[in-house]
Amino acid sequence: MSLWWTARNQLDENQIELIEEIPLHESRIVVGPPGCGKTNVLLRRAQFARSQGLSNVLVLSFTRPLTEFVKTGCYEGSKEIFPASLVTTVESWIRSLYRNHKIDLPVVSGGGLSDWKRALAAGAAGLSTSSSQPRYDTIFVDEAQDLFAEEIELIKEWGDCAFFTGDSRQKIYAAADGVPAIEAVFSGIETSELSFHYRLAPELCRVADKILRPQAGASLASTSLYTGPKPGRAEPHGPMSRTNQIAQMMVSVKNQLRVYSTLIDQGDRIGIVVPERADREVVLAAMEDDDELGNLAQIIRAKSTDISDSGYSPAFDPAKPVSIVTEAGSKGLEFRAVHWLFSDTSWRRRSSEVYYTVITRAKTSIDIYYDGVIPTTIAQCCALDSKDLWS
Amino acid sequence: MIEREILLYDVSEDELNSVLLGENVVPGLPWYSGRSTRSVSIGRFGVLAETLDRYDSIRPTCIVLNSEDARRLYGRFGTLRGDLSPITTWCHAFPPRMFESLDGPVRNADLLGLESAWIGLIVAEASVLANRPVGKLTLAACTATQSFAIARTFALWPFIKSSAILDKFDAVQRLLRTSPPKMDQIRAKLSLIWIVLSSVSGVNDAGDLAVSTLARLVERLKERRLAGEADGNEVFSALRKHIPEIDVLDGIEDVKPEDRVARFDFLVSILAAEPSGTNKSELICFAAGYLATIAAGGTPSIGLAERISERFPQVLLWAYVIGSLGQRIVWNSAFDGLGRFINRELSQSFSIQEYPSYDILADEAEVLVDRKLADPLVRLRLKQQRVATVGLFPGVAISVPLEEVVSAARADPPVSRVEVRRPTQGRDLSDLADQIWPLIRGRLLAELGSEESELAKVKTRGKKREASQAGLPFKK
Repeated sequence: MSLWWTARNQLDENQIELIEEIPLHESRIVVGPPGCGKTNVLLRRAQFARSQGLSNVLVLSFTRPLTEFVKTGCYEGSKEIFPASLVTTVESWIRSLYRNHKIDLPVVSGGGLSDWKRALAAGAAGLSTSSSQPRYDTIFVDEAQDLFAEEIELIKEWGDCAFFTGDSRQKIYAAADGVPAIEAVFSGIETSELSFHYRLAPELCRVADKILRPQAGASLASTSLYTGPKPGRAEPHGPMSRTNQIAQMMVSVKNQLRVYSTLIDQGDRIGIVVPERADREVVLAAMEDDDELGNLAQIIRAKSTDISDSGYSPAFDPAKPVSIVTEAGSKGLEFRAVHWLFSDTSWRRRSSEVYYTVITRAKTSIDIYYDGVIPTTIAQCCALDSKDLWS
Repeated sequence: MIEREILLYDVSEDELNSVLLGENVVPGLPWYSGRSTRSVSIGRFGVLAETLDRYDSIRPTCIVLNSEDARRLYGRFGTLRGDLSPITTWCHAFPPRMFESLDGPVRNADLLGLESAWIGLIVAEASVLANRPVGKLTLAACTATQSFAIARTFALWPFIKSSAILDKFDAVQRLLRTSPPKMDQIRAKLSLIWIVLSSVSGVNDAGDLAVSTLARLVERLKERRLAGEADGNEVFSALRKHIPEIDVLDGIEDVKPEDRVARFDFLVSILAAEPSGTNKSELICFAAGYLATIAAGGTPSIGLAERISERFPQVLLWAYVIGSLGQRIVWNSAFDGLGRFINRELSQSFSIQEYPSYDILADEAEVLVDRKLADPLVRLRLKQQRVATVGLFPGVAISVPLEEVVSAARADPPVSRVEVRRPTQGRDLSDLADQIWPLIRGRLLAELGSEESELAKVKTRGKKREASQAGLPFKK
């Protein structure tokens, strides 16, 4: 919905080709940098497939926030233009297979999330052969770099064809099999690349390029066709106490809510990224206590296995333009401005991909706050303002 | 497509009756642009009609009449010729001078590259008046604005003065609405913008300092943007000599979006300290409106202007105008899809061969509306419940919201007296009548006998009158 003259969601020729020119019965992988329009292409191709009589489609994503984010693309204003009910998480879909076929969920003792996901997918294998449930015309999967081989097998079992989008550099689950596994399961599948991106300000591209080496020589900065607010920036702030980090962030957020009001009306959001789940509550409580920010922020929870999230609605509340997410939960989301709080917490355990992912969630600016020592990766990729050096 | 011949008839009032029924009673002359209708003097009418080959008849499309005759004709048709009234529902009506300005059967609407700016202003005015966000505005709310009336009239009839447009606009509001909206305050804020935009279009001469400065700036911004060039520091450098404080906006393009909020607040603070209506305050409003269009790092932040719109609505109005300047494509989904609909209404050409796009022309409505009637609009024969479209001038149709009380009167059929009697009351009256009947019977019958003979006479006269009515209302 455009409330101004600038047209949004304009598509380039490569994107249009991927949406409507590839035969609809052909499987495909689409890779590209953050902000290149992968999710938009995925959703529009699903919409196009339905318009061509292939109505039984399924759109899968990874986390609940990402699913909810994809669902926001199903609406134009308040009008549904693609059935949001066809969008779900990979895990929810697999669980529904268990439920529909009246099978108990597997019991996995010990192990982590990766083991659980593999076991869940493996346990549902083969159900289609005796099922009355029809196969899908196409299964669309976003953020496919985080798929496990068992999940890919299941997608092949249930879909006449599949359409994957992903970016190996935005991998959150280190153990995931990702794009190579897709190529192995769907032998002969072609890969298309979206070279240009539109979301990230050049200043952020340069920071991201210092975290992960550009693929095939094409840096994010060199492929940026960003036309949004300028100038962009990535600024570290610290050292300062956690309380001061929150206070400084809130001052900045107030100005951002004012200055980006039109973009927020069009669907933009401000993101607060924190390392731990418990941090979300701390930040939300501080914002709720503020006269201006109270009731404008919302915690976006990442995984359905998060016990603390029972009874929680994962939908993005349009009346609450500030989203509080964990680093893992930020995957696939995008914000006009990001505030990364407590960034020095557990920083040694953080992979370059996580840094890359969090920084590329921001479209125009990211403010990174720390208490003790600035994380090495941040220090290496973000220059302090020269005027601060000698102050 | 068969091109139909257009004929111009110069007729008397008697001949007019036949011509308006499509009868070819007098010879018509082929019409071409510039053919004079100076013969349209008091008591005579020009009628433009197209030939209908199939029926050997004509279809009147325009009537050219003096204002002195117009009121009489509309009233006479409303009273005696309900079959053809209102006339302007199906036939255009022109004063002679306006008719002679036609240079062909089709008149193109042209706002000289300022279409998008006018659309922005119309949306802004509708948003301020309705106190609604753009996403919730209707097209009717936009075509009901003063800015729409001004823009559409300028587009078709640039020689009509804005004061004449507003007079007519106000007359329509007073006529059709029981509580006409108070538009004085917003009009005062809008009028400078109308003058500036019309000056840029060459319709008005730029007058005072504020108008001439702003007209020059608007023109330059439009030209730069149409040429695909960035605004640069155009606005602030031009305004600096009038507003020295504006130097805080130097290098604004390098200031991060969050810090631009402070610059906007600063402009508002000097605006608040300046008496309203001065040249300086008008220029600051423009500067603040411009800043709102680039505050979000070169993209609009209308919320900044919306927050102060109660106190300084002109900042918001300017923001919409400036943000819309130089937009070549006016048929995209801007303003939640509203922009292209407004553009359609603003930019569509006017053809004298097509039926009017409004329910009635304001001049005729003024004659036919009768406030003393239960439904004052009954003679307008509107077939819309909530919004009427009224022509201010030929081809200029504005929307007018109809008040609920009028809508209700028009929606509900009149309730008969029998129906409104409450049964219990009827029973009470019946009991009373039974009781007094024996007392009044003799006297009443005596009275009734004489009345019946009177009634019989009246009925006979009525029949005679009815028979003689067949040849009326007009002499052939």
